[in-house]
Amino acid sequence: MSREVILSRLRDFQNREASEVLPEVVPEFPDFDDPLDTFKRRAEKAGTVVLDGQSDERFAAAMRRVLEEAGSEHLYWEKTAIFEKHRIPFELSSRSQDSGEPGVLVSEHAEQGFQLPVQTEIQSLDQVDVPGVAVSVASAETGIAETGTLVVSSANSGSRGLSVLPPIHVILLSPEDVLMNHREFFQSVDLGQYESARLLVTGPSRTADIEKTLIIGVHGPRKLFAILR
Amino acid sequence: MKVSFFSTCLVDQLFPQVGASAVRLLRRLGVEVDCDPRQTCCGQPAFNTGYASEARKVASYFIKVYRDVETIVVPSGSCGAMIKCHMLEIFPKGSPQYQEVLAIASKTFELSDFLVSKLGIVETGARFTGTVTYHDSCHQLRELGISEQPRALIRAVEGIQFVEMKNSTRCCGFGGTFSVKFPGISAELGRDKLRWIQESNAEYVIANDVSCLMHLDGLLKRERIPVETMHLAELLVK
Amino acid sequence: MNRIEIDVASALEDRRLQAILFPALQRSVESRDEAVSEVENWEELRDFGRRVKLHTLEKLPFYLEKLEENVVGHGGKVLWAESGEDAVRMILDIARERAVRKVVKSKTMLGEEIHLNQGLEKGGLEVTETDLGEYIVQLSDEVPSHIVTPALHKSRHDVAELFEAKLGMEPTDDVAKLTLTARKVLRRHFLEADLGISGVNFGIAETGTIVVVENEGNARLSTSLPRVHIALMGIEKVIPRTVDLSVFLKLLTRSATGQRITSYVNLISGPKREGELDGPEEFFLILIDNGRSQIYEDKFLRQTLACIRCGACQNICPVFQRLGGHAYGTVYQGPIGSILTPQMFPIAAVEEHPFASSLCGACEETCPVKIEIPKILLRLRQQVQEARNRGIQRFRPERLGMLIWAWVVSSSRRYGIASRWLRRVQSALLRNGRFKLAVPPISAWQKDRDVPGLAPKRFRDYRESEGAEH
Repeated sequence: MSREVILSRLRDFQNREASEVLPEVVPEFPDFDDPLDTFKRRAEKAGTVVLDGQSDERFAAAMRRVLEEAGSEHLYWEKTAIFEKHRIPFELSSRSQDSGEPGVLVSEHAEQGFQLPVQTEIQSLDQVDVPGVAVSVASAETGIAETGTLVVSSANSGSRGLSVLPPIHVILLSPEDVLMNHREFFQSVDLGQYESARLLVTGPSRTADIEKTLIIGVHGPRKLFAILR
Repeated sequence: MKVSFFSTCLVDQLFPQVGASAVRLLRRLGVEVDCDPRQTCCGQPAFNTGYASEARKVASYFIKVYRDVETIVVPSGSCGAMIKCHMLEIFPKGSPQYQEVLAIASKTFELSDFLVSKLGIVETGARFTGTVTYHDSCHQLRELGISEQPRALIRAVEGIQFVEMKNSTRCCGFGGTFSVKFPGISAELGRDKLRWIQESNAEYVIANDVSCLMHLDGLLKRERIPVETMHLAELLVK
Repeated sequence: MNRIEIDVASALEDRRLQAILFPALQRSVESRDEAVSEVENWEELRDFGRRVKLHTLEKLPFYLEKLEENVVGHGGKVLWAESGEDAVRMILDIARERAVRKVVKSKTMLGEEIHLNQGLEKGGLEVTETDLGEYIVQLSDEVPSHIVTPALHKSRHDVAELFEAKLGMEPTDDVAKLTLTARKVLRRHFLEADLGISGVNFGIAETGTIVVVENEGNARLSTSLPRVHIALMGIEKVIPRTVDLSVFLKLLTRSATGQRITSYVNLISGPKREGELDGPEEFFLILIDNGRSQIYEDKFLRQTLACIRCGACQNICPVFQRLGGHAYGTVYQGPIGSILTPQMFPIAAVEEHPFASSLCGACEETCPVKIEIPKILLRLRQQVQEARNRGIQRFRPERLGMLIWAWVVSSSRRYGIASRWLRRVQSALLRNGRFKLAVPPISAWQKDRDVPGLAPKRFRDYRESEGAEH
């Protein structure tokens, strides 16, 4: 059995006395006086558009900006749990439910004159015109100030594919979920407990494979919005 | 202060004036210098080419000559690195020669390091009006960690104009055995250096290793570029 | 096994290559330097990274078993492959059992190492590389020329020509347009593939998580959309704890591309879970040996396995900067290639590679885990010479020359006699103090440089060398 062959070969050459000790103390990682501000600046440096959505007006303005950028109103929200977590100020009317369409809700915010078609609660990706989705919206589990990174988890996000396929992606982040640095994040996270895949997202998709020329938006989104709410 | 001067075989055979300058310089600074006439080579050519037993043979002789001296000064970063870093690798741990090499390694100094770190001297009384640039020899820079000392010594030369060239730390391309086995690349890398030397507008390029200087000088002369090469020791006795 | 020769001449004569290489690699070095200068405790991180790697290697069986246990705990399956061929066969079996036809691949050097694509295509599968650089290399039927930027050797014009020929694209100089074409074409492959194959940057033993680092998003897609995901991991890629990843990510991304972090870091723990909307139904981790346990034998050489495949050594190596990757003729090229390949193959097959270095040490200086590359090269050079000391090769001219030289130089009397004799002989060979007769190794030097002759008087005979008693 290959497994036994490999392991026994390694064991044959293992040294009797272990001389390399696993270091217990992890080196320092940077701390910041204002982690939220640092997060914002570093996310922007990586190409993320960071918008403030902490008041209802600002949130509506942010979403309007997203839709303008997308040039489309086909927006995919990953899970309705997002609405609660980020106190999305939409009154959802599910007039499409009678039509039998898979969970297409229309949110209306009369005061802001804001109408936002929202597709959610899908049971399978087959119900979604995947290539046609222009914008997907997810919620970040955490933010990391050191690199302006957003962390999404398959346990509470919707679709892995839809986090990367659409040209525009939006991630909502609660300011109190921002951690200082990667050491803090990796020391506290419990990988694989509930989720099959976590993704650290920093900026839009990019490549420099041709003549080391930077191009934004290869296979993943060309624009990443982070909305603080 | 008494030192034993190891000229290195390249200096002995091809650039004796470098050795002469170094000894003159040390004596001018009040150091008692001994040059053991038995000295030959540190064994680096064999070691670098993978001939460990031949390197061992030569290194054993080196140990025999130098085992009883207090301090050894070498006008070369690459030979200095051979003595201080690599000789240990060709003798088995626990062998008597291993202990001797350990001792020799700790009492060997590259020239510029000896002057600045050991003697605490930066001003040698040298006077030279010319624009010079400095090439960091790889072994000296990365194995011995020497880069500030030669620069301090150069800057202290009265009347001198010192300009840093671009990529001064990039290998000149000689590499000893490398220049024989891969001569095309060796020359290309040297020519890269010539470009940066010229861009610096220096009239002289200084280094602590005659191997680098020989390689650069050979290319400069072939391309008929009017830049002169000079070993640090030669500059400091001016 | 045939000898793999380093094709220096083609590389140096290729003007297009020479025009692209150095500027591109210099840019990589500059961005790496900038990203590193921001980190105050970079040396501490390197030290930590090296110690963790050496410790892990020392207890490799333990950590591999732990990784396996935890991956299985998440519902994944772990297979062990002694050789590259074994791994390819396993993948073909998995594919066959599941009626897989189309495969998408994200970047994996290990895949190149085991000649995965050829193996899968022979087995009747359609394989598409999804990393842009790898896709370009696949279309042009070549192999990667750099660990991180596989299509480094190609100019935009080269890519435009390629896309025109293979994809029917309008010729253009616009890199953005070229990239967009690739995006459009590859989209379909992601959505139609049955199997996604990825590499692994790190396998976290503590949690059974594999880490895949990328900028394009193609790894996320390749490992999320198809119903089966196979991850290929060299047995040396395991790390003990989640927290170790914080340091390794920092070391890797800043060294490889000068980024604080890549656009995406995938942390995958098994197949899709109950309640998750998409993700592979099955996850396989294939642990591949393919010669690594051989490198493991020697305690000093074992550090070769600490490599995190950042490519920084390639970027800074002056030799690589002139040759590019293809000239080496091996999967792994440049400094890391020259220490890996001779340890994974019979050394007689890659005799030249340990010598294709001036031993400048820039690689070691830049290596995020402080692999002592020059010292390893010197050791491999010894192995090459020892391997040659058999049969008729024992009398090779280079060795005889070394024997004579060592004999002469280890006695001051013989050395003195030889010095005097050489000076007498040389006067017949010199003109104006420079050699006029082309004799090796002088002939090699003389092609490009003026070579000095022996000085008329040795330093030893100078007045200055008169010293005290000895």
